[in-house]
Amino acid sequence: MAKHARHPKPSAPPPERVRTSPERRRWTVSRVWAIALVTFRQGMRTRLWILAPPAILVMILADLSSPRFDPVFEAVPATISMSLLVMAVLAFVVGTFFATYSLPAEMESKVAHSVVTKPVGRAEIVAGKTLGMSLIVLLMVGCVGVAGYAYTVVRASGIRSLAQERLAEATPRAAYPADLNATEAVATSGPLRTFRYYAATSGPEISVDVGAEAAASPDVCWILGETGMRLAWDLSRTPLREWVASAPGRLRLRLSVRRPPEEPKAPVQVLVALLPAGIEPVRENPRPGGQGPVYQRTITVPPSGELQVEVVGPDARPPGGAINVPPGDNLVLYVVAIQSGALVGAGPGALAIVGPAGQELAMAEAPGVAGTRQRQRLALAGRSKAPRELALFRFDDVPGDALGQGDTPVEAGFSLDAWSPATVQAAAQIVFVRSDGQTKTVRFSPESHHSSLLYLDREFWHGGPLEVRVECLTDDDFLWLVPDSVRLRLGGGPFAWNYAKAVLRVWLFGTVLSAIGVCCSTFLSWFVSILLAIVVVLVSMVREFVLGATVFGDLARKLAEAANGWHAWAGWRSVAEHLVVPLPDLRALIPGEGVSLGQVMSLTDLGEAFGWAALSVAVFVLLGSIILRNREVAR
Amino acid sequence: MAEPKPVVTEGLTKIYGDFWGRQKVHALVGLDLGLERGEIFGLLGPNGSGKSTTIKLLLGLIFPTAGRARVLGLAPGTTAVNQRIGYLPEESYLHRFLTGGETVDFYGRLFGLDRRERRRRTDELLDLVGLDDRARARQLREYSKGMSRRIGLAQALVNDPELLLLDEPTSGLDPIGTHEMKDLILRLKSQGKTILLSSHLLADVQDVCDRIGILDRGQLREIGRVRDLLLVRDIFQLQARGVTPQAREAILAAARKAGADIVATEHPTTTLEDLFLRVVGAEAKGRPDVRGPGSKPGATGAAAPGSPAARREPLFEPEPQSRRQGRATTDDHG
Repeated sequence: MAKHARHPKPSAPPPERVRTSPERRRWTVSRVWAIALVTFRQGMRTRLWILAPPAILVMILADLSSPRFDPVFEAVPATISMSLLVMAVLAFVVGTFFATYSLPAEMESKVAHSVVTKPVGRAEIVAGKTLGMSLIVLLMVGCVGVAGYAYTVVRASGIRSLAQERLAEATPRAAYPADLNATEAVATSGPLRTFRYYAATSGPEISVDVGAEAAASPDVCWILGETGMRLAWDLSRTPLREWVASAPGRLRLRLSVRRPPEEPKAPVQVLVALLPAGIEPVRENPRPGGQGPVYQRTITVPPSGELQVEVVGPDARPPGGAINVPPGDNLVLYVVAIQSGALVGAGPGALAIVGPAGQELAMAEAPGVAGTRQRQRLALAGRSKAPRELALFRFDDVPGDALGQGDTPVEAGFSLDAWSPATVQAAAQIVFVRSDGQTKTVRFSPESHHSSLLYLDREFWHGGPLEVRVECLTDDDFLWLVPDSVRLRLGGGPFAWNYAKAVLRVWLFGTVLSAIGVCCSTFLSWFVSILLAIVVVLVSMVREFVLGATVFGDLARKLAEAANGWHAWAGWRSVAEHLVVPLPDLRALIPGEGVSLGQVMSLTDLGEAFGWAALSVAVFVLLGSIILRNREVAR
Repeated sequence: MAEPKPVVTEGLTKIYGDFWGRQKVHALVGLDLGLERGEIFGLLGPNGSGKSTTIKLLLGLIFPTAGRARVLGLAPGTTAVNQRIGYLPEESYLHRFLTGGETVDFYGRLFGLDRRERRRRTDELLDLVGLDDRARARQLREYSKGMSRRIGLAQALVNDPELLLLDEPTSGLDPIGTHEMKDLILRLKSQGKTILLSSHLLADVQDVCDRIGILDRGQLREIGRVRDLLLVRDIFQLQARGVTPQAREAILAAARKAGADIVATEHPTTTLEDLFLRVVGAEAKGRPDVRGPGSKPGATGAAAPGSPAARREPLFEPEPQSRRQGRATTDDHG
């Protein structure tokens, strides 16, 4: 194109863009389908399908060459995992590489000129491309999926008899119920079994098994050291602040702390903190000689259990052992046991406020126990005798028909996934508590990376509320527990349907990748599109890490804090976090352990995956169409 | 209310910039243009003069730097406009993995035609442009240049457009194909369609266009009716048959006596195109390029006798004689 030195005429009207076109009103499925069909044909006629046979071959070879430590329990899950992995890689390759190739190739070869000059909107082009890619991924993943299913069935054909042989030998000396039950299940029903799991409604929550003391003094609230539990008194309705203001330095808090009689009389330290409601005590003592107010003190509890803490005004310099009154109206007094395993309790009347004139206000109610809310990950300390930590899981209302009716042969067992970091096998105990208080106790030895199957008689429980308490009985050991550690396990549906659902999830994964690829290719060349799409995929797969451990997470938090400063709405935080990394969690679309271990994927999960995928695809299609609409298709 | 002009531009300007937005190339500067309904307008100019840029701006493929354009009274690039126009790109930029039939069917889908209508339209158009059943079942990657232009034209006509934008329509075609393309353009004009074509092949433009505009370095240098622009007003030309040498001398003497300055006296010559068509036209009608490898001997570019296309109406009729006569003489500056 020849260069021209002259400038446009001054009288030329301003340029006009196509942005105001009524394309959105003319959006039709038939045009999207037409473009999708052409994209699909493009994929097929460029022989993209040729990737499927090598993928199947790789799957089989990788499976055959993988070591199996346990042919009964590991063969099928490993085969399924391998086939799903191969499918996910194939979906990644096709979804990313071909999706980023198609549109730039059409623009480069100017085929796009012929398309965009037809009555088709940019959104229809992007949506059609994405749909076409999705069809290609479906075909490819479907082919590998069918082959993977057939191969899995073949691999599983000999496992049943193997399990029967092992059962015959192992029954008399089975060490762990997990192994025995699982072997029996495989021997009777085959390895291709699927299970439906019911997660606990809440848990794990920390509680304390006080032992005999609990029965002797039922009104006393107990806390255990190193668990995050704390005794808490609400002082908002007391005249504490007025009394401090009227006679500074002459107010005292008198505490009567209980210790279990069987505990050794070694000194126990507690942290006493006077704080506004909503602020948690921290394990930091004031620096010696430090300036500023002091709101908490570490105090050694004498054998008598009687403590006295002096309280001074907010601006006064506290003498040794004294604390300041913090600003704020709703004050709470916390007592926290510091040493691990130290049991401290308090009952009604354990706290009294002694005023400047000697007047005394006793708190008639027992303290509340804070810090027992549901925890994401809990290290349950092992102790062979009380006081012991308890991890509580609650099943609010499991419907009776979920457990099967009458003599329906439905397996009803509890799966406990608790793992111990110690080399020795920890002893554990699980207590089932019915709503009427009846209990059933089972002792077992949880093994790391194995599910312990604990069966509950139907005569004891057949639906309704149930509490499950887990205890570690080995001294100086502990069990890791997470919310899904205790689950109710029932026989599931057919394996084929479950496998099909897993394949569908891989397809959804590939569809989202396709949408990302097409979106990137609306404004970049093929090579750069691939790189950007891969970066987007990787970042979306480690989004938790990005939010939690990088500058983006800090940025999100600062944004959220700033937003919270403007308006007291907690939702700002999540809004701010999603603004920083507006990417779907693609890992959620790849079937994980659940399927490979034979867990039934619920339709709810599949629906949720569909929802996630649809939302992600919609966002990327919208983004791509906006970019394409404002981009010159030709040069 | 009067119907708007098919194409109107006001100060249309396009300056290509680099990655950083700096203006680099003035491809089109202040183009003012207006097309009348039913005319064939030719954009002429050397390579890089702004012809393709103008067409791309009118199609909404690129955005103007300044000025504005109206196509059928609407902003270019909108679906409402695209519904009523047809576009033949310079090269036939189509999906090479589709067959001829699938290509027309695909573009028919984009226009929202139902299955029955698409099938009818595909048959009709492929017959119209002279692609037989075997050719329409082959993928476009196997097509020759001529076949590609034909399928490109078929997709441009799939919606029976009011306005056709043809970018170098005869580019890459042999004389037979060029001749047929020009015939088709004239035929479309006779159906009332407005046609804007760009070309740097001056003879082609002269043959078919009512008006032309000449672009050079992005600026419109000349615009007007072809006859007016080409008319040499100070020279009179007389053509006659059966003139004896004596009569010729008498005519020349009479002219000199009347004060005329005789510029040239020659026998007229025909064009190379006419000669080519006369010599190889009959044989070329059955070429594989036109009808595909399975064509029957004797099948014409228009349609075989008795075929559906022939029953409807042959597309490639002989060129109107009046058009050809315009170029049947040459001036000898002897």
